[in-house]
Amino acid sequence: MKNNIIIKSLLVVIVVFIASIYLPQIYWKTFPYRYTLPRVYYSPIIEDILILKQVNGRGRIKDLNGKSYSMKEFESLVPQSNYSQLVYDGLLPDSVNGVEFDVPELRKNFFRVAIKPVKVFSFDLLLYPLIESAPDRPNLVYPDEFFTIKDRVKIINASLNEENEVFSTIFTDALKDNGFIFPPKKIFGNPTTRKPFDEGYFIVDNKNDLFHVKRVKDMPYCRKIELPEGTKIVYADVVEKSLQEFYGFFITEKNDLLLISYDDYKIINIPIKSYDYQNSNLNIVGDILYRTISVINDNKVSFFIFNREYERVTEYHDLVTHKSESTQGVLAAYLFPFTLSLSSEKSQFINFYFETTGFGFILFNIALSILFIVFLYLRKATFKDNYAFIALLLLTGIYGIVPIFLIRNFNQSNSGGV
Amino acid sequence: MIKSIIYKEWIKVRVTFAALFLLNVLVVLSISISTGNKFIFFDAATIYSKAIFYQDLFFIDLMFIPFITGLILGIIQYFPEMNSNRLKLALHLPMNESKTLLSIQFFGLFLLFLIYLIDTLAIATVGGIYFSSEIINGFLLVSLPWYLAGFSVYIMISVIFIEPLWSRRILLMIVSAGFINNMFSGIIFVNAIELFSLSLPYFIVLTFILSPLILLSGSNYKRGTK
Repeated sequence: MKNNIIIKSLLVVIVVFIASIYLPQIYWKTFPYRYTLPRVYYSPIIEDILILKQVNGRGRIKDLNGKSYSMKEFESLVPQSNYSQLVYDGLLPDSVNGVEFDVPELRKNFFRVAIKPVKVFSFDLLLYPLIESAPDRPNLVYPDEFFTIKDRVKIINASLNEENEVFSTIFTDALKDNGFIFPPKKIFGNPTTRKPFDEGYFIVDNKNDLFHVKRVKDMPYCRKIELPEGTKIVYADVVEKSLQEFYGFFITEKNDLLLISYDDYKIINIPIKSYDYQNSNLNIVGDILYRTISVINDNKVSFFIFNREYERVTEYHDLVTHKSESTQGVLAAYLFPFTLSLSSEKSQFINFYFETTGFGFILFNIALSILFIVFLYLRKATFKDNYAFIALLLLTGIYGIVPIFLIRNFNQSNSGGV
Repeated sequence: MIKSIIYKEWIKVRVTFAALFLLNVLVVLSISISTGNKFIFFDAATIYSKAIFYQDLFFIDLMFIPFITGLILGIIQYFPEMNSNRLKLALHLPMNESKTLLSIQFFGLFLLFLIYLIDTLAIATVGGIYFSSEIINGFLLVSLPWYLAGFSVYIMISVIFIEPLWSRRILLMIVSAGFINNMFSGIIFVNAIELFSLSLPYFIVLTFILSPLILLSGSNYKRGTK
């Protein structure tokens, strides 16, 4: 058997591949870096924002002028969010700014929606349950019918494990009659019966038109929603809350945040900035007085406060130390030429997520190569056989150490590079 | 010559092969019985919804079986070779050593492939009785990395056993563990379908890149025993 350079290269590829996944993973597990972003609440009483920040592991509440507040003061200044505690303490005001504060109303008006890249880049379900939106019972009933849409609507009866062709035909026809172009790009909805009522599904067709489809008394309800020209919906969070004010929040390819209201599908464009659906986290918190929308980009956070008519009240921007600026991060940039990760916070799929962190690693690679040369000198090995290894260390640094010892046996003098 | 080598390998592993085959069949049988029972005890809509939203794989019991199958077949096939240095004889046959080693390895991979093929067909048939084709097609994709794990553990066992140097064997074991661990990433907790849909082709290529590493171990072995 000859020394096969190809097989050795394959071994190097495999080992570098494995090392670039696990070494950074072990490093970050050993030296974790965590940070908490500030949270912002709007107080209708002082008509300004209050900032909750972690300082040395302790929560501090301050306003924009730097004045500190205690937790109790904060709770009574932001009654719309802290109503449970205020009721418990007997401090809930009867009304604030002319809005009556009544616990069932407060509860009904409170909601949270979180939109993350991982939700945008997620799997489609294999089948969707076709829930009856107008059941003749107090609660929603889990249906036997499941659907999938490719070049037509296919509705499957789960008990019989066969297609319900009558349903398939009437739903396909209903979509076609409304101008739906098959196959659809995305289907959004909450395929569960653990909700107060059902609004069915919002489906983006092949021409980027949005359709509202639901099953009402075993018949299809289909409605094309008029979107502004050129709008492409990439994600939707359908909100089925007893508030019944809007169908949900829709994200467009141009990073606009749209809200489709119950008022004849009227579209409201909520003006937020610095949002990028591929990278940012978006949190929407609604209460009886305001809508607080936060956009989180890594270590930067922006808060936008709107009133119930979606008119901007105020905004606040802040940032904390980025992972790469921390001690661990700076060191990691020297140690690892690149990092490979199989999973990502921003996607549900297993894939090769490649990440580089500057060129600091070159210094470390040179140092490693020098160490290796010293090692060769001590072993009295010839440099001639080891040029490839020095090159490997220069190129892959810390990941190249194991392959060298897998290929070369330094205990055998004059081992011909095997 | 290849025929005789394969015949020799077959004599060595036939009992093990039968046992592993039986193990796989029993697991698949157990899966089909419990799936059938599920449909008796719960209504179809519940099982479907669990399958779709929680990716409740009805054949999750199979998960580590291909891995175990590959591991055992590898050990049974290569341990005797190394234990009594029998491989030395095989490498002195009047045939290209690379060919000898690769035919031994490919024969093992072929046996594994047979077992895995029958697993897949059985799961698809059993699943097809209860679930719609959309669900079955999505689900079968999930099991592919498990079979890849089976192939890779078999290949790495062959590489590790033939490698004569213990320090290298240990390094290779660590590398193999890291490699095979990838095949199970995310699955244990999520069971998510389509998890690998973007990266599966790369994993298939990487698994078969492992195969020729046996030649490197073979050449080390020859150098060591001379």
